[in-house]
Amino acid sequence: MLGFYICMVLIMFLDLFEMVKTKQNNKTFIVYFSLMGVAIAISVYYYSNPYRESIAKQIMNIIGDNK
Amino acid sequence: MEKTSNKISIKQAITISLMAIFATIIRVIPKYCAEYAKEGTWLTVFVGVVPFLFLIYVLSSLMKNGKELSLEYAFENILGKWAGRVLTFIYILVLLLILAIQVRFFAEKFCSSVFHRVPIVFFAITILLATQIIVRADIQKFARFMEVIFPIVIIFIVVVFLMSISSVELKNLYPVTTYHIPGILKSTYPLMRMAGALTYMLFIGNKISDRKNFKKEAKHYTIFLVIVSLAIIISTIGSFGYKLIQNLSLPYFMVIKNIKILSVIERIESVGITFWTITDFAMIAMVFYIVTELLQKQFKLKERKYLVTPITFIGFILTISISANVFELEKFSKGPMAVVYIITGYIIPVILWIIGKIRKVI
Repeated sequence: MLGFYICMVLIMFLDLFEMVKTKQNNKTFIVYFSLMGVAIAISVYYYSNPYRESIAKQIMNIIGDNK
Repeated sequence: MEKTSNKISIKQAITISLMAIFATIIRVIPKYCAEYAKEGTWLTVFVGVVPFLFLIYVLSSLMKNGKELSLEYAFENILGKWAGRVLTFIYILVLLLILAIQVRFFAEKFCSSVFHRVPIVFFAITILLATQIIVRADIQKFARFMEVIFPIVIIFIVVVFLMSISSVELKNLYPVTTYHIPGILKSTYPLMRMAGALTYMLFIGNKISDRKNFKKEAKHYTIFLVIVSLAIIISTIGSFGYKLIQNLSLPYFMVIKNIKILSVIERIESVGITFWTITDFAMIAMVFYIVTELLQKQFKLKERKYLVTPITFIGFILTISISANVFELEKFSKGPMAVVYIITGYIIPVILWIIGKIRKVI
């Protein structure tokens, strides 16, 4: 899994390099970092507690389908 | 295929949808339909095709026979700008969830069938990185690949059907009596979840050149859908019976594994897994492409390819956090997600079509 994260960081740097090179507008950078932020927020939420229930379980608990 | 622009033909678009639908048919249909229809499962295909044809009519009407660019513009046209945009964002969230579920099922399938000791994370990463490469490029390349592979998959399914005929027992498919009618009608419920693939595909209607032929082409491809579904249902239910099928995690894989002709042709499951992987790849890539395309259009960005890396990251995190194990995933997919599939793939387009008709905007 560490390999995947390293790969993603490398791809992210390549993306950013290309975005700067092709002079993308500010909105592209904002959307890019916002989506990355969402991904990091989900991973922090999920990994912060090793006993946390899965998303499927949480959704099923909310709608009462947890028999 | 159109050569002057970066567009694909409606035939190619429907081919991608069908390849994605095959992934669902192979995994879901024999197992879930057998629960309701029992021996009469093979008849559900003929009943299930009726709502599917109605959806084709509704989608074609929503697209105003090709005048609308894509489905989210139809949403905005019918519901107004903001309500349409909110609905599109709901679709984006649902598609992200579908992406995570499909990737997880792909990984779980490999772990439970061939590579028992390999962690699911490995397969999730592999498919996401492979999909990322194709989604970064134009949809033309993906469509061309699917166009080439589509007849090969159809031929493989037909060959498997012919080879498995020797193990099909008529007692597993008969008798079908009037008592089966409620079960058969009920079993269209799992079938309707497939409709989503066709609905979601129209979100990239602006990339499709001859949208006015949608109804005609979709009807033609429905014939393939019926033949393939029938071949898969008969070979699985006919070989194992409806009771055993419900307890098997991968019924179609077991059918392929059991094929043995004259002690010469046997152990062809590796070929089966290959084609199954391609259908899963089609589903994952299609959903991935639509998510990035919708986000690009909603945020009015110049380039779509810069959204691929963040979506890969979100997709991966959701894939590993979606469920603790395959049983939970199956329960979630069969329960709440089946309802979501039907609402987003079938009910919302039909409701919008009714609203559009009342407001006389379509």
